[in-house]
Amino acid sequence: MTLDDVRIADLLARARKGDEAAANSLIGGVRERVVRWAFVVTGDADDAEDVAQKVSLTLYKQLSGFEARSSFTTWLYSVVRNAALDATRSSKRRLQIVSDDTLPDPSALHIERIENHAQAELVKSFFTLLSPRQRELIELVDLQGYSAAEAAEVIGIEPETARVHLMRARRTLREKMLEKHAR
Amino acid sequence: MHVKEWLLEAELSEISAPPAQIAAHLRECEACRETQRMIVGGYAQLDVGLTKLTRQRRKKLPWMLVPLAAAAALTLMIGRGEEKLPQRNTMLAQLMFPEQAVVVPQEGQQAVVIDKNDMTVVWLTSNRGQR
Repeated sequence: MTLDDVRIADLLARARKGDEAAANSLIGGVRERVVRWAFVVTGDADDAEDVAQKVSLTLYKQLSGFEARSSFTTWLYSVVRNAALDATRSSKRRLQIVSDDTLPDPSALHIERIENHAQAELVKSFFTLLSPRQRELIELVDLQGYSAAEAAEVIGIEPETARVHLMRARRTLREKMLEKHAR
Repeated sequence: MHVKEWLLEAELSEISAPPAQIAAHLRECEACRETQRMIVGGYAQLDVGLTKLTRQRRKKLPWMLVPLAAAAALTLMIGRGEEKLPQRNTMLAQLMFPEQAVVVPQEGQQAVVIDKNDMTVVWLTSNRGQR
């Protein structure tokens, strides 16, 4: 089950008033979105599941105290992003990798779960050719429909920086799309 | 800027519904129309691929994490007060262990069933504490 923004606003309003059923529906309803965002950041399907579990607990603890200074979705993304970055740092420590630019291990993507070859190749390119920040921008702007300025705010970077990263990421990804189709 | 270059950097919404000048060129140029189609189609493929990898995955929890996670859920439940235990416990367990439950608990009990390779774990709790 996924929730649209109107439904999220309704459930959030009820959850903040102490409606537990609404809180449960909200947390369960955003889970798929949480896993996907975490996956985009970590590049590791198992880490993304771990992040989703941690985020669920965080939401249970903090939902009633959520103050609508920012939109729920923006706040949720920041929670997911922080948890995902923690998971990535933890994985790197385990692997004794020190560079922040290290690309994810392709085996952690579980590409074999995608039977369609074109889809699998694009997902692999998405993770192996783009940096985590570029992936976040492609996900938020091109796939989720945020503006570049909104995505910049969510990620915590300057809008102009976001635009530069986005242009580079688009060019890399789209050239790959054309290359794949040209074969 | 050549239209193909524009297509490599433009907003996806604009590629799907280009401004008049670009649209006029696309009507005339089959190669650019094909590029437009490939990019829009490529994003659709990427979106579907990402969704496949993140939807309804069965988490293989390391065995040692099972009691730790259950204990965490129980700790949270206790902290929230006894009246609210059943509903929150069940929902939280479902979120933490997205597996299919096959056991119906007795009155006053909650059950979480976890498939672990060839083993099934049943985690039962009552309103008064864990079992």
